[in-house]
Amino acid sequence: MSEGFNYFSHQSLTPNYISGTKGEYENISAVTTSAACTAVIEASNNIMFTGNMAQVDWSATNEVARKDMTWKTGVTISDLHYFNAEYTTLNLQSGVSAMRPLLFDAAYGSNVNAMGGVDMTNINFTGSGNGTVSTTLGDEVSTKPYTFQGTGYETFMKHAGEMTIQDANPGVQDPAMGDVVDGFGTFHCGKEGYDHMSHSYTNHRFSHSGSYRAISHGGQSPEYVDIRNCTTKMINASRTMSNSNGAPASLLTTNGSYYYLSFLMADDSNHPMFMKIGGDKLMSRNCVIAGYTDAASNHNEPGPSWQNAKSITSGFQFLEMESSVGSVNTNHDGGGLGSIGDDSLIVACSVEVQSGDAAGDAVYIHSNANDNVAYGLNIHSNNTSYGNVLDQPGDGTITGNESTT
Amino acid sequence: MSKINIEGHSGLHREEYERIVFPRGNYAAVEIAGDYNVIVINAGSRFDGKFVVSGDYNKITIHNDVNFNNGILIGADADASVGVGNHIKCLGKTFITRDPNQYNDHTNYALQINGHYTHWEGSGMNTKVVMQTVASKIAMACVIGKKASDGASLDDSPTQWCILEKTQFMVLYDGSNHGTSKYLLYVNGDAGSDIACGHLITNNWFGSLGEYDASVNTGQDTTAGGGGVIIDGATTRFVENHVQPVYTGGTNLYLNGRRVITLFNQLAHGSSFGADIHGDNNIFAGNLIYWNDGKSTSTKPINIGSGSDRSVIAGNRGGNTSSITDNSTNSSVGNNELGAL
Amino acid sequence: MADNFINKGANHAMPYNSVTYNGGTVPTGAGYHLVKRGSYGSITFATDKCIVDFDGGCSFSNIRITGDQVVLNFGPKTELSADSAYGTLGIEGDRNYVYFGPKSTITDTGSSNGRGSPSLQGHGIIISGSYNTVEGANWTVRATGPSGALAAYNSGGSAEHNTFKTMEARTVSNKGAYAVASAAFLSAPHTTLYNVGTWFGAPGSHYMHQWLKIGPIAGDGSPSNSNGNGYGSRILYCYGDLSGNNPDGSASTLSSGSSGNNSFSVTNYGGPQVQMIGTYCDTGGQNGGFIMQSSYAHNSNMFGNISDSASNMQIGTTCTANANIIDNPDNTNGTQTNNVAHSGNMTALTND
Repeated sequence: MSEGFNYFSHQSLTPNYISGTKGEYENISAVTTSAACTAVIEASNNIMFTGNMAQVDWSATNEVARKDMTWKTGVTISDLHYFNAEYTTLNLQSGVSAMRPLLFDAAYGSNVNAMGGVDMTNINFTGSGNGTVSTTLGDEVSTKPYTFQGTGYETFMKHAGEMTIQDANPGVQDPAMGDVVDGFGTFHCGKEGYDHMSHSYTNHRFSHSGSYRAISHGGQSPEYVDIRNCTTKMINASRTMSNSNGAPASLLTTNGSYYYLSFLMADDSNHPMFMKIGGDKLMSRNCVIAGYTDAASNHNEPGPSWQNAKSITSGFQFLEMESSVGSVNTNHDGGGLGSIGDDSLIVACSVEVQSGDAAGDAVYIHSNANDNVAYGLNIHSNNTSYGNVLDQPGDGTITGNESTT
Repeated sequence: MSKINIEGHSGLHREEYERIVFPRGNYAAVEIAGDYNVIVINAGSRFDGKFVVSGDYNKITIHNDVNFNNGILIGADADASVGVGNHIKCLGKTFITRDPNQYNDHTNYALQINGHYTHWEGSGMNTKVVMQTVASKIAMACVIGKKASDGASLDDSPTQWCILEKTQFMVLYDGSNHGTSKYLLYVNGDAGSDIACGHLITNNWFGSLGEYDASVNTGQDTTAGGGGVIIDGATTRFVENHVQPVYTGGTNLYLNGRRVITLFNQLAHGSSFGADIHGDNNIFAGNLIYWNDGKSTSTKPINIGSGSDRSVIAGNRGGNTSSITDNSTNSSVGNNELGAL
Repeated sequence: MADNFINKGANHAMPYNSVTYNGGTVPTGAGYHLVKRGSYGSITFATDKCIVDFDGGCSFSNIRITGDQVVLNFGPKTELSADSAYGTLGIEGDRNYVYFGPKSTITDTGSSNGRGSPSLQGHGIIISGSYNTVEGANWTVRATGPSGALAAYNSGGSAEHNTFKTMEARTVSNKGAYAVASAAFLSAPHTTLYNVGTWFGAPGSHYMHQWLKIGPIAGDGSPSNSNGNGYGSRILYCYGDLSGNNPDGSASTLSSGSSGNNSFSVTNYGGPQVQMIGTYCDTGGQNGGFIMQSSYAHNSNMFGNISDSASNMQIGTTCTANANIIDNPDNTNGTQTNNVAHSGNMTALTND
């Protein structure tokens, strides 16, 4: 092998100004089909894709791990994309319109980086549940996590329209679900019964077209997932899965444990709840619900969003948005923040609900949630009965809170 | 496979204001000695020699699947004014470790951060900094402000104003020897406890996150002296981290700096105290500490030393025991939910 | 497997739509562009989805972003310096992301707004759109302005959800107007300051009214669209230090225009539902404190903050203050739990 020069500085001969810009991407490719895309990604690494893609199976010919790709600004996708290679890194530039499901099927260790104002509607991370924690020294030690990070609220995971209800019979799926209009779920991690895109039924969306493999972990949730820096939005909380009447949440839907949420915001969303989590050890930091749209009278009221055992929710803001002084935006009649497992904390949070009613309490410590801490909460509502901490078990530390109207 | 040397030299770069790309390949030792560069390390690269950043104010982006097999030093071993202000950002899978066969006889680090204002930004749990124990030697996954040559702190001029985030740190038992001592993260040295260091340490994972296992033949542990995370630098903000080694031989979190703010962390397992607080004017609130010392019914989850004055320990969930040890003075210690989990 | 690149023959084409060198014109159209080190004057990014990577050492006068989904990825040692009606970096569009590499400076060389005269000018970085983020590499990035270094404000009240992360915010000696000058203004709903630091008191004969201000951007009037309103804003893990322990290494004196009107406080004059979490403030023995007592600051929530100051904490009747270390509480309003009143007995740090 050559021992020669392979260091790409943009400095050619002179110290400060350079010629040439080659070096960062091994390939810039405008291909758009599954076969062509996978051929490119298999042949090298750190690829920039520039074409408008349709439905792509990124492992169409082979599952090749540890790849890095960037979708250039202006790229659009017209149908969902499927990844199952481990340790895939997908970078999305601002101006990418990826408003179709991005489905990571047991692609453990994958990272999605959205840089700036990217438009997405749905990311599915699926997995086998209990992640393997390897303790053998090597570059696959410990967990194989999924990670999504935007750069801030400019990164959107927002539905453009509401899902159309199709046949309600079990096993019958809606093949049109998951396009830009029929958004379903935002960060959706395989919660059984609510997850159409990675459902266990064979007739689900991805294999409906017949030429792709079945989802290997449909309906199963991975562990060790880190999601941060993004604005989400659902359109109509009352729309449910065709076969289960289930519906996802606006921030996160999963059955798994070890989830980390930071700086997520559901803004002007209409959701049945803002998180649906089946597992323990959620750490939610500085997330925001800013306004809830209830423009249509037939929308369902939201229900409580529960965290389970050994979870910490801190710095949460559950606010109706005041776009100008004294002008409260919308109403969120029920469905506050709740804890349904032992040994959890809700701390340093702010809640404002102007239309609270018996349908829900601002902060709800369920009878199953023993030895919880609800501390440093500020609640502002129309009613100090609903707008308070409902402490059913009575065995926690519930103090340092303020409830006013 | 033969190694590639940069430009035929030892890999020393003195450029300024450049855009530099390391194409995918195997590299020997590399030192970035210049300033103000935009540096990209391409996916799939391997650094089998030490990666040193001794220049100032560089922005370094590391793509997916890059391994640093013989450690990273940001700064110089003994001077915090070298290697100042660099921002290192990982995008995907990143692995930083040391070859145990190349440990020095004293103290060894995988990630040594000595330059002021360093911003180390991992990609999340996919950025892993891992050490293995070696008999008679000290192993630390990450240090801010100490010397490898003799393990001492940088004394009167400790490293300050750094950001350490979104990274997982582990020290693994090698199966036969725990080594002299080991830490997951050590922030400055003894002399730093009343020097304002102002670090922000947030959204990290310490330990392999597995479930508790008292068998030291598997997983990681920090017995034979040491502990998990040591914070000696004053005015540090240690927030929103998850400390969960499978088994800890010592304390999970030892707080010795003054005016340290410790909020919203999860500290699991531990062989001694879950949290051991000694600095003055500390805030320790909104944390979850549990199952220290194998679900002991006597070891307290939180110990507050007699040297801690005018501190706040409140709003925590602590177990397994129903009390904590409080030797502080003039402090507010209360409204903690304690008892068996 | 790690392959030697040379043997893998790549396309290795240029990813950028354009490359600009010193003397050229910075591209502002949609696409992905590279700008090399140089001096480029005043730029307005009016077209959506313009993504620009900049090498280190670029300098500009003022930059306006009026488009949406723009990304400006500045390299190290970027310098903006201007006296502009729009602020030195003015972001008027939506969903934009700006990153500054280490040792960058954004300096407004104009004048402070006068009391009761809100304006975009006089600020280092001012955001009047929505869903924007400005992020620095670390505390070697410095924004400076005579009215304020950082601000989020829109006279029509439409700015919201803007974030400033990780940089130094600095005012200017002998320029801060009475009842106005602050390092940062949270004058639009849902403004977030994260890990923003200040260690300069703007010593001189003018004014520094507070360190961080929530509410009206120019003075102490009541919050409104035109004055500014900080509903739902957040101050997270910020750091203020005028003592000898600060990153400058020496103590900084506050402005001295009028002793009652110079302060290194965090003050909420107009932002309900505000949170301040994990923030550290050492006034170096000068005026300061945490003040969230205005009727317009209702339901503020202070948690886990440290104030080394001779000034009290003041909160309103609907507010919450828990697990803070403060000089003394000025009142028993709201809910105050587990606060330690040090009464001036904070243990000294080296250089105190």
